[in-house]
Amino acid sequence: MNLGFFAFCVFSTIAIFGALSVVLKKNPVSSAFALVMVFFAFAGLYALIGAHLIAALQILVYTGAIMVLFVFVIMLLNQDTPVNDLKESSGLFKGVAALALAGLAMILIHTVLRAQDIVAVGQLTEEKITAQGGNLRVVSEALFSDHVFHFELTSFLLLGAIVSTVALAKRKTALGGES
Amino acid sequence: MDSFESLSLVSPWLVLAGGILATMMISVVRVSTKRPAQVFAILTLFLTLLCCLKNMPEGTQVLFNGAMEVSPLTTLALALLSVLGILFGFGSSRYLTKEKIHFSDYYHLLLILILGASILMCAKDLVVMFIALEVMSLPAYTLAGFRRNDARSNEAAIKYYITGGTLGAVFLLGASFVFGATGSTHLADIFLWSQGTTANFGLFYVGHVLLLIAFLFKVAAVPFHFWKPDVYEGAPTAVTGVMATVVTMAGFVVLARLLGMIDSARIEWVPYFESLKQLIRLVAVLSLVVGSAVVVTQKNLKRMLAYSSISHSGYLLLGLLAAMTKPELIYSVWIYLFGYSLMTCGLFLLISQSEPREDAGTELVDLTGLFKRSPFRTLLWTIFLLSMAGMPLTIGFFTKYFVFLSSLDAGEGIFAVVAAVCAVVGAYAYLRPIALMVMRDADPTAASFKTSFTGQLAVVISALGVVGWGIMPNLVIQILKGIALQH
Repeated sequence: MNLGFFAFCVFSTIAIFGALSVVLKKNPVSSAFALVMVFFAFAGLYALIGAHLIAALQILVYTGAIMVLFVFVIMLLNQDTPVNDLKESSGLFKGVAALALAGLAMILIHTVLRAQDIVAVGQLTEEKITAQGGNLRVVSEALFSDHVFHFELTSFLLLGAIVSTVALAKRKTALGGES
Repeated sequence: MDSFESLSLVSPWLVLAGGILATMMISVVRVSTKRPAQVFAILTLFLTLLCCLKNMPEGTQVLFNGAMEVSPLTTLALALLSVLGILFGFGSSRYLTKEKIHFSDYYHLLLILILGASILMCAKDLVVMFIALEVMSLPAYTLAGFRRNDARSNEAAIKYYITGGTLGAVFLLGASFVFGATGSTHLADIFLWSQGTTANFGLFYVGHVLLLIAFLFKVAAVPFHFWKPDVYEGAPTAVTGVMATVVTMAGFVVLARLLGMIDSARIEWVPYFESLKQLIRLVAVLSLVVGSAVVVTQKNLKRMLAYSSISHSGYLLLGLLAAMTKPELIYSVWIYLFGYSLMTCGLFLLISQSEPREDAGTELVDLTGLFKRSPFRTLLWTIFLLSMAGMPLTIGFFTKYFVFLSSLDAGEGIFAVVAAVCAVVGAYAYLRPIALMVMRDADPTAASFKTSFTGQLAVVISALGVVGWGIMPNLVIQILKGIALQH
């Protein structure tokens, strides 16, 4: 067994158990920290397939920025008492959700087991990336040349998000009725 | 194609994007009144409309390295979205003032929503599709929760946001499977892959079905419809109208694109394509039956229209099903979308004119004896309701007629029969309010209806569209048929 496969098994196990405990933990803070674990495990998986930039971004953006926001929100709402109790939801919903999940998992496992000949089909191989000067260079070149339209479109997404936030978070005294 | 030509092709989108920024700027300059934002938004949409009509492309042009496709259909769709935006911009200011939610933000979000929807319809790349989907959805979530002091509006926003977020995640999961199988996110490359590949298709099947499910969620086809009635009821009426027209339209255009993603003529794809057809058949019939059956039982007008839109999704899916057998039959879907948006727009503007006594929404009984109180408004209601029911001399008739026709043409006769039965059941629900309005005496406890001149003008324009198109259907239908053939 080579080291890569061993690392993959370790990271995947952490990710799966982390994800389960995000859902199953009763305390929101424990859920949030389980999510941090999932993010770290994913960063490890990305690094294993040679996507070092994505691994770094994963840690910086998700673990660093988004999780801190999560914890802040939990702190501000002051909800450290257990509220996320699965026992309270109805048995029917749990049953339907479990069935749907089992179905999806079965389809996925079936597909993966049947598709022995799944190979890397993208244009960028590891050698090619190294030849072009590494992950960061390849990603930035793609982002600002081939994908510049996506990039510009994202700015409108952010614009919409900002306007939405302002519209929803305005003070109630600002509620205006004039035309 | 030189760069100037491609610039003129995308000019409607550029005008719209520039107009969003201009509208936001002008709203900052004067905060004491909302008029500047409204005027600028309508002006922007008007310029976009003119730009669309002036720069109608000939044939399909692929731009931005295959990220976006501009065709007569997409430009015409943007023109229609602009018209709808103008109608809602004029028609909803009185409603928003009444609800004390007349902010400039309404117009900014409306414009961003239209931009997102129009780019979604052009998207030829899964990543662009996802970003455009979010550009369209984010403003819709916010607008649904615009009445912040109203619990139902908050509920609508949260429900819409969570279902929207879920379907976004499903879409991304599907897109990553498709990318894993094909090695590209460009639909053109995926089509080439489907023509030449000999690899195992399993991964692609899962991804493709997940992509379809995401958009069946968006257009609320049964069994993915449960969020729709609550969201429609809770959202401010003017916003529900935008959601029912703009978002549905974009959703179906993308569904058509996703179904055309693979070369279905190739022998290796036939079994998969046949099972996809079964899926669409099932969803279409369920939507038709559930939508038409439940619409009869509803008392709240907005809930009624929510179920009505679910049944309309069923008809549209039948159109898509026909197009899966014979691609040129897609014109029935375009005709349906164009006609449906026009009549839905008018109907929601009419509902937004009502002023119910309590906090309750507009109920069916509020229409009792409207004819005695306001004959002209009754005429408008009648036009839209008859069109919804599919009576001749309105577009509603032709939209349904062409779906039935193409279903028969594609050999799906049995589904045309099911749809016809559902249309009859649904017609009862639409004719009942007319009977209430005309045959009963005025009810003093019913809601009063008030509107501004521009608001009524917007309704009258869409009514004229509904009737005018119903009397002279050929003109528009020939254009749409021509476009469908080019597409």
